[in-house]
Order: sequence, then C-alpha cells, then structure tokens
Amino acid sequence: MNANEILGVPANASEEEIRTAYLSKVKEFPPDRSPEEFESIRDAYDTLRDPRRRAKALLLSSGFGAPLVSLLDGHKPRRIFAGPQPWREVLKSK
Amino acid sequence: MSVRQSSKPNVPVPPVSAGFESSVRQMIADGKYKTALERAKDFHKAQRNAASEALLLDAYAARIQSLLDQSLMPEARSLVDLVKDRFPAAKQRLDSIMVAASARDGNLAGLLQPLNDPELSPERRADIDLVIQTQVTDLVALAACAEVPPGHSLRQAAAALDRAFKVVTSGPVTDEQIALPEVSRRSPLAAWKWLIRAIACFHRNEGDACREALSAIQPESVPGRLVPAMRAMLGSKTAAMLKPAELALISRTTEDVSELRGALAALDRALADEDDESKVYKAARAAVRLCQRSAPELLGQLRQLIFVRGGVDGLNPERLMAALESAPPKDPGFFRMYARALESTGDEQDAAEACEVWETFREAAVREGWFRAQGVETATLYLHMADVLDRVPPDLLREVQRSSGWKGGPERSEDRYFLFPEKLYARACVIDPHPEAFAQWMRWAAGQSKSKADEVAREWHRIRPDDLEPILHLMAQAQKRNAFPSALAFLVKAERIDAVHPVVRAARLRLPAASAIHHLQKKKPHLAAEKLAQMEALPQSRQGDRPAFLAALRHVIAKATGDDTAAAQSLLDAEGLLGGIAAGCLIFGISDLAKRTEWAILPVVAKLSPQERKSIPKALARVKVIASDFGIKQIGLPVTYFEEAATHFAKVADTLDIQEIRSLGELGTGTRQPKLAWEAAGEGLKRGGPSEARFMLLRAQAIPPGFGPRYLAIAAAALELGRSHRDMDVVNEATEIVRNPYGDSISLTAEQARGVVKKELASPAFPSPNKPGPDYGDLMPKTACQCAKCRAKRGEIPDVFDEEEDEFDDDVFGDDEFDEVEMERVFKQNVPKGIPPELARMLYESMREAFLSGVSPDEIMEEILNEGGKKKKGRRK
Repeated sequence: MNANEILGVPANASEEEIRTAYLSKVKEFPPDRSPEEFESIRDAYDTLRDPRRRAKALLLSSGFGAPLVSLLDGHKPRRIFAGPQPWREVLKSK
Repeated sequence: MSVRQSSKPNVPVPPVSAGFESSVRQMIADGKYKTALERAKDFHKAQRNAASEALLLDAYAARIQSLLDQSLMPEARSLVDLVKDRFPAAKQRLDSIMVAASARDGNLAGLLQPLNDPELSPERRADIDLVIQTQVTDLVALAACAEVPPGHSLRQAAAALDRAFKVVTSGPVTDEQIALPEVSRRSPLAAWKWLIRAIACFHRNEGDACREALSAIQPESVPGRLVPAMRAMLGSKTAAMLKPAELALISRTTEDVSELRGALAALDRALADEDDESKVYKAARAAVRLCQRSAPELLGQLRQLIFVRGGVDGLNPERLMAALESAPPKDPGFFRMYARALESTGDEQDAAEACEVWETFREAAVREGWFRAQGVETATLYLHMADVLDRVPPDLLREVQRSSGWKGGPERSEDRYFLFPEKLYARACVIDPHPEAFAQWMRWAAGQSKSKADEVAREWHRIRPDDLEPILHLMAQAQKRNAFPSALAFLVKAERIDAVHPVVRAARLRLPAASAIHHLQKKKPHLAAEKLAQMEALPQSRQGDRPAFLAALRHVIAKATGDDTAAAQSLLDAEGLLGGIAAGCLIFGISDLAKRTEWAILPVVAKLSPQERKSIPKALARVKVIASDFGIKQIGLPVTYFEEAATHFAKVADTLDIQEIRSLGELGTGTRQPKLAWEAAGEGLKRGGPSEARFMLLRAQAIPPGFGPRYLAIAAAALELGRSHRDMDVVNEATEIVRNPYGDSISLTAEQARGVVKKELASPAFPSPNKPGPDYGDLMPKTACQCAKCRAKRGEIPDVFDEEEDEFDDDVFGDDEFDEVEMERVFKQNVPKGIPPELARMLYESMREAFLSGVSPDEIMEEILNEGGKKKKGRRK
C-alpha cells in the first residue's frame, strides 16, 4: 500500500486533509497498542507532509510490475442491495 | 405427543449427591435435554424434595424450549400442559416460555397484553422487554399489535424501524432517513437502531463505522444474530461456521471476486509464458469480461494494466485492443504507468521514450488537477526525467533528439525540452530551487564538461547565494584557471557561510600559496611577497611544518628579487626547521613550480655523504606531506633523488611511519618513478592494517606495462580489500582499473584477495621480464576472444560489421565524450584576433551546441568563420 492508501487520502489531498487523516489513524492505531500499524502510518505521514517525498511517491506509485491479481488487493467488493428478505432470514434462523 | 413417564424402569436410584445434580445441569448446558430430563425424573422419584423438584422443572423447561426452538409447537404445548398438571406452582414460568415462543412467531398478544395493566410491576415489565429484545423478529407484527394502543412508544418505534430496515436494505440512504428519533436508547428495540446503522455503513463501504455499530449491538438481542454474518461480510474471519441463511445473505449482498481473481492469475501466467501469445489475448478477454461483471469499478485500471503490459511485451496492439473490447482510459494514471513500464524494460531507447510519455503525463496531470503546472511535483518530475535520460548513452540521446525534429538550434529545441537533460534541470531548479535539485544538476553537468559544471555552479550560486557547494566549485575552478582574485573572492564568501568547513580552512592557506607561485611564474615577485605576507599573518601557518614551507617560499621570492641576504636567512630558517636535504628538496620543488629551477641549488646525489643519501627517503616523504598540505599535488625533483630514495628505501623503512610510506608511494606514482612506488607499496603491505588496500592499489599503479594479469589481479585485490575496509576512494580508483567495458571484469572473493596479498608479499622484487612475479592466470575472467577469426574458428557467425570495426581506429574516431579542452584549443587557435569578448563567447556557445549534434570543432569553425580550418584527427563526425 502506498502512503495515500495507508492514510486513506486522495493523491491531491491538501496538507490539512493529510493531517486530519493522520490524527484519525493514530487514534485508531495508537503506538502503545498497534506499534506496527503506527509505524507505517507515521512513515506515510512523513512521506506525504514532505512535498518532495510526496511528489516522488506520486510519480513512482504506478502499480505497474505487480501481478495483475494484486489489483484486487485492498479492493472493497461491491455491495448489493438485496432487499430486507435475506436479512430477515438470518434474524429468524436461530 | 405423549411424554414417556419412565422409559427406564430398571434404572438404579441415583445416590443423593450434589455431583449428580450438577451432572444433570451439565447435560442441559450441553443440549442433551432429553437424557437430562430422564435423569432428573429418576432423581426426583428417589428424592422427592424441593431441590430434586427444582432440578426436574429446569429440565422440563429446557426440554420445552428445545422443542420450541425446533418449531415443534404442538409437542411443546402438550408437555407444558402435562407439567402444569403435575406441578401447578410452575404455571407462571411455563406460560412465560410459551408467550415468548408465541412472540417469536409473531403472536404478540400474550406478550404485550400485560403492558396495559397500570399495576404492572417493574420486574414483569423487564421480563417483557427482555422477550421483545431477544425473541421478537417480526417488526411488522409488533407495530400492528392491537393489544396496545396505536400511540404506544413500542408500536411507534417498531413501525419506524421496519420502515428504515426496508429502506436501508433496498438502496442508498441518507443519515436523516436512519436517524430514528422514535427509538430511545432504553427501548428494548434499541439494538435494531444500531443494526440499521451498521447496514447503512456496510453499503457505503465504511468498514470502520460499520464495525463500530456492530459492536454496540448486544449479542443476545435479535439483531445480534446478524453480527457474525456482517463481520464476515466485512472481511473478518469468523470462528464459527456460518449457517446457510448467513451464507446466502453474504452471497446476495457482496460481489464475489474469486472468479475474477482466478482469471487475473491466469492472465499473469499467460503474460509470463512467452511461447503462446494467443493465450494472452484469450485470458485478457476473459479477465475483462469477468471484471465488467463483478468489479466494474476496476475495469479501467485493468484495461490500462493489460494494455501497458502488452505494449511493453510487444504484443500485437490490434489483437490486444480487441481482447480489451475498448481502449483503456487515457488518464494521468495510465501515462504514469506507461512511463514507469518503459523505464523498467532496461532498454535505452525505451528510457528516452519514457520521457516523452512522462511529458504527456505531466500535461494530463496538470489538466486534471493532480498538481500545479509550477508546483514541486512538476519540478520533481523534471528531475526524474533528467535522471532517466542520464541512462541513455550520449550517442543515442543525440539521435533521439535529432529524430524528434530538433535541428540544433536552442530555440527550436524548446518544445522538445523533455529530451534535453539540461533544460529539464534548469526548469526544475527554477520551479523549486532546492539544493538537492542543484546538486543533481551539478553531478550531471560534471559528467558532461567542466564549463557546463561551471555554468550550473554559477546558476546555483545566483539563485541560492548562501549555498556553499557552488562557491567551493567556482573557487576551485577559478584557482585552476589561475584566476586567483576570483578564487579569493569566492573564498571570502565561503568563509562567511562556513568558516570552519575543512575545505574552506584549507583553501585559506592553499589559495595564497598557489597565487604566490603563479606570480613567481609571471615574474612578479613583489606580488608573490604580498601573498606570502598574507599567509604569514594567518595563525594556521604556524602549525606543523608550515613555517618551513613559508621559509622555502620566502627564499625563492628573495632569489627572484635578488635579495641575497634575505635568501640566505630564509634558507637557514628552512634548513633549521627541516634539515638540509628536505629544505633543499622543498626549495627545489617550489622553484620548479615557479619554472625557475636555477633559483635552487640542490647538490648532486653523488656528492652527498652516505648519511645524507640515506636520509633522502624520509626527506622526500616530509616534503611530499608539506606540499600536499599546501595543495601542491606533484613536486618536481631531480630523478636521481627518486632513484636514491628507492635504493635506500628498504634500509630506512623501519624509521618511516605509515603516512610517510604512503606519501613516498604517491610521490613515486605521481612523478612516474615506479620503483619508488613499488618499494613503498611493498613496505606498506607488510605493515598490514586498514591501509593495505591503498598500498595494494599503489602496487598495481607501480607495475610497469607488460604485466597485465598481475596488474589486474592486484587492482582487483585492492578493490576487494577497499570494500572490506570501507575505503571508498580505493574502491572507486580500483574499479576504474578493473572495469572492462568489452567483456567480463575481474572480480575476486575476499579469500582470493587475501591470496593475492600473500603472493605479493612473497614476491618483493620489482617486476621484470626475468622476474615477472606470481602467475594470476587462474583469476582472470574466462572470456572467449571475440575477433572475427577466433569466432569463425569456433564456428560462430562473424559479425557483418567486424571488418568495418577493425578499420575504426581509436586514433581516428577517438571517444565520444565532449572534450572541452580540445574545443577551447581549436576555438582559440582559429578565433579572429580582436573579436569582442561577448561575440567570442557567443561563437563559442554556438560551436559547443553544434558539437553536441555531432559536428567536429574544426568543421564548426570553418562554417562559422567561412575559412578553411585544418582537419583534425580524433574528432567524431
């Protein structure tokens, strides 16, 4: 995952958006409870807040070279509105 | 249904024990209701006390509940009637079970009717709430239940929840639609509110918010039954096996991409298989179609990836496009991907093409608001493009520049700027004048020519006057041109920025020394004396052997001005500080630099006493150290002194420290006295330690021509030792020696390098045809000769250009690099006398630009001046 994906911000996010996203991620993964996640969040923030590093990351994160299957990594499957019935079936199925 | 009273008449009466009771309760907990009931009956028959009755009623209750859970209502009702008949006291408990069961089936009258009783106890109310919370699944029935008035909060809440539930599972909703103010936090239906929120978040792909809502749902509540399935839908692994209804829900609400995953993996395999191209088109078509169905949001990106991969792999574009069924979206992401793909092929032509694609990316990115046209991203991109172009060989780059429509004029090349590293660097540094950008530009320029590096340094200094690096560069270049006033002006600037920088500190002493010698060369001893006075005023000139250098310089200046008294005094001073031989050598060296050796009297070696002759090695080493301290790289002395130093070296080696030995070695290589260098290198090797890499390199440099394998083996050993001692100077110098651009270069392991050192220590004699030294043939790379004859002998097809190549003599064509010195020389030779300097400069620039397009300096001069220039050998047309 690249820095933008880690913080969940678009490629053209403003500095304020990056900071807000960073703080919210740190709240979610504080260093004492999730040291590894915090480390990657911190790295991502360091990359994105330095305009030159951010620009470099933007240029180099093309996704080319990885197997095509990796296209589905981190991909959120499409949600389908199936109506209330299948939900009710589960509720009644105790 | 009939309930068997006693199916086991011969069961022995169980003993009275707490253990038996707990075993029955364990059976209930394990779901073995029927057996538990039989045991409880036998136990009660035997005991007939309150405890046994309580145990039996619990077993009955559990059994009834299990029948209800299996939807066996008539059987459960019969059993309830039976138990009520036998144990009237259990009536209320059993009725509650039946009411709850009815409520689960949507028959809520019995459950809700007590709510109309104003005297309803809080405990009873809590029981009813608990049943609503854990058993009522039919919100419609609850909202419509006539047992409570229409305005009752429970009916209102159920109706609102039912509406929201239908809406949230059928399409996108707003927060207002699922706000549900009718449902309070204390309501027995509160968990439904969280469920609706969780479903909304799920459909919005807000995983974290969805998980948060799910965690607020009580597990025993009715909505709690959906929590495991929803967690699975969010991608969490569930401990329990999912029920069929849960699996059905997942498949109906979440797109399954497993088939697409398989198709993509198949396409990856097809792309990796170079044998069958048609497989790729087939697999691509299948992947695209599946993606269209199960992940249409990824379709554009997939088409881009396949198109780029196929393009780079050289697939048929028409067939590929047919397989994709539509062209990939041409957005900035596509161009970026394409450019990166071209960069990664390793093909130099592709690298040049990548820059063209990068330019298209830049335009698209600016157009689509990815970044600003004059932003730091653009500057970074320009630097990256320049870096990519740096990988393209100069010949090919010029060819690409020419074929792109550029004819040599600087203005006309502006629209194709992305093929010109210099223009890219210049643009990058204008947009984002950052030291790293300038440093990158400088590194590139230094690889092109000295004047280019100077230009960049000047530009850097103009834009960032407080950066030290360009000032140091300009200072060094000014010194090389003997432009000492300029060099000193740069030194003053450098001192203002960082006075303690080692280069700056050294320059404070070296610049006046070089300037003084230059003045002596120009026969201006009074100016040299001024510089000497400046040096003498510096506190650092009083350190170490520096006063001896100043005394020697004073002596030479006095000689130049004809002041014999001062000359005699300064000679005495120098001799007093260094001793006779060293002082004499130093004075001779300075006089030699001033091109006036007649000012120095150095006795002939043969006339020296044996003691004095033995002192020569140490004296030379000391002189070399002093000269280096003042920035003098080479010092000239009579050859006999070097020979004498080489002769006596072994006898006095014990008295020399490692620095002196190294100085002598460098003096030997610098003055082309290989024997002296050889002796010093041998002694340094014997001493071992971290300097052995340097001494191995010195030994390689001292080897005379004709001992190629030994030369290469020692240099390769120096390279390996340099690596292990992290001596990067040695590594760089040794790499230059062992590098073979036409074949395999020699490379040694640490063990092999150690072996070379051992062999060299055992062979101290200077190499000669009679004593060539160790044979390193086994270490040489095994490469077959590539000449046409040898290749034909081996049965290989000779290259059609072999014969032509043989005719291409290096002397005729020379190397391809831009030779600034040669250029300047031709220019100065031919430029008309009296031409204004501005015009001369313009002429020179035109000449340089044209040269880069492949025209020889002479031809350029001929064209510019329209007069016959002499044809020079060694220039490339």
